[in-house]
Amino acid sequence: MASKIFDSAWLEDCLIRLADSIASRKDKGSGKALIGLCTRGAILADRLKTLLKDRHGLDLPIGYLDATLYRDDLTRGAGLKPVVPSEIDYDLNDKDIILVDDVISTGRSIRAAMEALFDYGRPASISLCVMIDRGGRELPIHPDYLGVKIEVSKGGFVRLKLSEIDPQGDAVFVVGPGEPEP
Amino acid sequence: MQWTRKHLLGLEELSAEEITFILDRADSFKEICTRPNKKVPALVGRTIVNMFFENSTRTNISFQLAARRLSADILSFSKAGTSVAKGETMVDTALNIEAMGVDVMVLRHGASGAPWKLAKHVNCAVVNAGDGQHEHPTQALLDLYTIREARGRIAGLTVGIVGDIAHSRVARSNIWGLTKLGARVLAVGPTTLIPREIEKMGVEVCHDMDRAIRECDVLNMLRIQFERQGGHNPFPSIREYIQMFGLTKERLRKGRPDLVVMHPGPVNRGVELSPEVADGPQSVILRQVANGLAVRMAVLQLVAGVE
Repeated sequence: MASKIFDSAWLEDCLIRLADSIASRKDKGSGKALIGLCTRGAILADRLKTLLKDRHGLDLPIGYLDATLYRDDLTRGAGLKPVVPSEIDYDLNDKDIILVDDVISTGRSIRAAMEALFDYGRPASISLCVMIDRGGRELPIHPDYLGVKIEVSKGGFVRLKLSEIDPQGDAVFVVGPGEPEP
Repeated sequence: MQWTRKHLLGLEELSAEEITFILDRADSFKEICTRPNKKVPALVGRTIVNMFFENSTRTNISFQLAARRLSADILSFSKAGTSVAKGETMVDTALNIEAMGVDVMVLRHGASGAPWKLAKHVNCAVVNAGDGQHEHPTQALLDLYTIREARGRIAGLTVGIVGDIAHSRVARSNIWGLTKLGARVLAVGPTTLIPREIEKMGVEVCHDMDRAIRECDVLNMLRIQFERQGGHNPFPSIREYIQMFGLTKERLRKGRPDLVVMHPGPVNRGVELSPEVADGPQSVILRQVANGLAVRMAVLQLVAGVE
């Protein structure tokens, strides 16, 4: 049985901390901009945008990216699941991009996302913001802004649920090997 | 759902869910086609061969461009100037090409059913780019995509398919797709160009163009395939056909103001469509071509990914 380890209060505190930390970082280029990775990273990016506006008066441009077609495991079935169109309506040249995702593990989807971003332009910098690092990295990619690190046993995984799309509401579950999806 | 088919042969065998899955995926590829960099690495290192045993401009170029935008390597050959002209059979030609290491074959052939035969003999994926008078699935998919884009939905719409339905693989694939997705389909034309028993495919037959214009949300005007009439005249004269079924500006006014006019090309200007209608505000003919690219990228990416 999957165990719930965090609830909505934790997620809210975590997002506030991350937003404050993002706001305090000095820009390298012409200003910060958010890119949320579909699907849950996009929702988290929306929430960060609101927090950055309310708490710091920063009104950042936001875009949404589906990097499925840039993945290195397309031929293993990853390319046969649904994809959604990316939506990046601002010019990301010379921007300090904050890439937002829910969970990082191997780092391969972040690599794909970075490759996709460069097809839209040349950002001044890219930094990575994730809620949960579950370990198991296969590439030299690490988050600049991190919610929490949770080590899970081999074959297990972590699921972040969000009230916008998930019936469970805001919650983090740890799922052991062989256990069903929460 | 997850895509599981290795071949795209016809719409008759696809479920409504599978058709919608391809249309949804084409949205992503359409976005890619609007970017300054129109290429994604999805099919890097894959090889696609266009095997066109019949003439084509639009479909051939569309598949080539789709493959290149997916970063695949694509080769293209037509009947003239190859061993096919020396009498080699289609399957032998295909097996020889496959031996060189090909992942997808895109086949256009004059014989109905040819892609099914090819799919039985090769291990790579097969995409039907038009077989005889049978199916042209990617054309129907791009038509469905364009209708959905123009009207926001397909279910509940009335779509008229007008003209040479008897010789049209585009019509057959469209009828399968439209009826599966819940549209009402009118087959409009003279009795000589509408196959008997076509009602069994779930369509209504209509010989009155003005009634069709009044009732339809979309009119898909087919080309009269003069080259496929086998020496028989399906109607007394072209002038009479134009008077009865040609779509002119005056006639179009009798329909709803947002009636969508489509044509799979190539257009016989002044026959199926008057030039004012073909180039007019209700025509989506060039949007169909642009959407065709996105739909074919979606199809190639899906079939190439199935082991």
